[in-house]
Amino acid sequence: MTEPAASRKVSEKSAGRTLPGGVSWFIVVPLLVLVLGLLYTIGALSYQVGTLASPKSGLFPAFVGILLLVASGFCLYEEITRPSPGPDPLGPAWWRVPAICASIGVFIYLLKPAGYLIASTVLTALLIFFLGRRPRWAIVGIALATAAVSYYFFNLLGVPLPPGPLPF
Amino acid sequence: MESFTGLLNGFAFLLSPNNLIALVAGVFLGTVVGVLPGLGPIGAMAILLPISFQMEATAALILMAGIFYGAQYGGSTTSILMNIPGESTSVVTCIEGYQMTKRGRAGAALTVSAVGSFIAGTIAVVLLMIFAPILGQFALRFGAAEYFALTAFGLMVLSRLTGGGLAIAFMIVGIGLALKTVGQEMMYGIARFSFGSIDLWQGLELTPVVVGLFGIAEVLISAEEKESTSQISSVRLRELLPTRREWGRSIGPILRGTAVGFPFGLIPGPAAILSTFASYALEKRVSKHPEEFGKGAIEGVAGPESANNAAAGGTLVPLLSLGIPFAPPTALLLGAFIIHGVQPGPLLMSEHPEVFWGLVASMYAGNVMLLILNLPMIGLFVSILRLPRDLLLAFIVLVSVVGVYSVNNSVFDLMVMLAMSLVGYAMRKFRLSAATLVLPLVIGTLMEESLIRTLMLARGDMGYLLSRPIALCLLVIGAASLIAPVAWRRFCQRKTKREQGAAR
Repeated sequence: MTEPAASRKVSEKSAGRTLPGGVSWFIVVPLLVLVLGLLYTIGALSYQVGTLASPKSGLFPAFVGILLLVASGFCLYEEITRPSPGPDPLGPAWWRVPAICASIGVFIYLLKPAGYLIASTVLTALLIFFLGRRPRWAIVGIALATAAVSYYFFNLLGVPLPPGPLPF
Repeated sequence: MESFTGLLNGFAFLLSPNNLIALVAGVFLGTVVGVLPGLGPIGAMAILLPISFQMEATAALILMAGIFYGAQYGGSTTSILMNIPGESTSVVTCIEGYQMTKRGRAGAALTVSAVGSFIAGTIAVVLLMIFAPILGQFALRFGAAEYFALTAFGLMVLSRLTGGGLAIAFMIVGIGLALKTVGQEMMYGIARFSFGSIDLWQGLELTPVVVGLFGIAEVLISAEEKESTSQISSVRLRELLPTRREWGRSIGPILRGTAVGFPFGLIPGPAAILSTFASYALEKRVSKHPEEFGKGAIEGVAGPESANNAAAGGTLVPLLSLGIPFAPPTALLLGAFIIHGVQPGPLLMSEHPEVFWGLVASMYAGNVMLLILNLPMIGLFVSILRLPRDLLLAFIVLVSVVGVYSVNNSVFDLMVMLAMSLVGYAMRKFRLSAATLVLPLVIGTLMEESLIRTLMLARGDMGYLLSRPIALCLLVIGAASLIAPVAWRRFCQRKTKREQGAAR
């Protein structure tokens, strides 16, 4: 869980990472929510809102849209008047983040057509390749073993997994 | 007497092989995820939530609850031995626990922490047994207005307690509620924000959102850091026994930690974390040796470790009696209840006694099991930290994706999980609380339905809410939690200015 209290204190690392004009990168968050909130509210109002006495399906989303607009507006105002520290810096191996996401993306793409065994072998091999420093034969071996053991284990639990073109 | 009979029946349910296996697996896994820095009980519960779908309801809930309170035990191990909190609830334990390790008293710190957790956990279950039925009876008087007020109260208090600014918290609450409105709504059956997609028409499932926000996001945060080279201290079995003086100094803090922790569990928000800070501050204030704080005072380990376990028990009270989770782990437990078609709330004890009493009995047994597991097996748990990180993270990702897919056999859920993992990663980078996003997602539907019903009953008169005493009380307390800290700060500022003016 993210640390709660005093979580947005200025840290030495994050101080100084600002946009031109001294505005913190944090301003992106309320701006984005404001735009999305506006689109959401327009969408909410396109449904029947009804009245307070006879509420329809658009009423609650309309309230939520107003909450989003007001809260993000206040947040934006606070950011402009009292800029908060920017985001935490990226870690030294930040490139692993897109690499892991891409690996999961490949798994999602392969899962139905290629089946669980092939998709999970590819996913495990990619993850171990990106996350560690192992020889290629070890990566392939671990990936194959992990896929096979997990396939057996999940089958034992009764989890339905797509077989793909393989006969098992 | 009724409770005693119920508890005996609960133990009878617990003795079935499936439930016993679920209990052992739950508390063991809980301890493991507690030990591992990065992966917390929320992530682990989120990952296992879909897999628990294949189990019986009682066994699944015993497993999930075991992970939840087991993690509170395990979290202290790395805090004490390595100065790295295995859990966010063990951050405070690092302060005194690691100092004790440096003084060669790691074993005593671990034992006091485990015994304190056991005592607090057991007392919390007794209190849960007392308070959950009382609150459940009280909740039978709840109508739509009261449920709306309760959900609004929950979100207001959560916004105040999760730190950061109020505007930010409300913004995240708004995002959570907005996500919950995607899909077909229950009152009129109209699909909202589905853009013609059948997947979106069904709405966003809790599981992929939570696995993405907590499970995969944890992996991403962990993966971008270089592998830690921290020295892992080992503890021999014979070094585990505290001295008589250490025991004497720990009993008071354990009981006070329990007394502080349990009520914290009843409040929406990160109760367990806040309770540890409160307990530490209390111990420092009442200690006869305040000069030892920061240098390895055992009270600073005993109090907070008891508080977080008591708070974990406390968080189950609103879930079991009202059906409303006030903390992210209990939101996941609610998910497990719903997956198995069991609705927690005032009628849980009468409609599903085997689930309620089975869960309570499992918590008694689980606490004993954790005490037995934790101390002799400390070496094993520490050795988990030596597992190669690439294999561990790859395993977590694999279990997560299979788990999410298995709920609905849906590739769309996997896409939601991936998208939410990026959202969770970004939220962490911006130091925003992902937990604040989960609660509105869980209670959003109840909030909308109770609001619409209230408005229909009152024919649009919002004054109706204020004419209902329970609803009024909840709304006033919620509003006070938002306004009071600001008013108090202003009052203090004015007072200081006045005093400065008088001094001149």
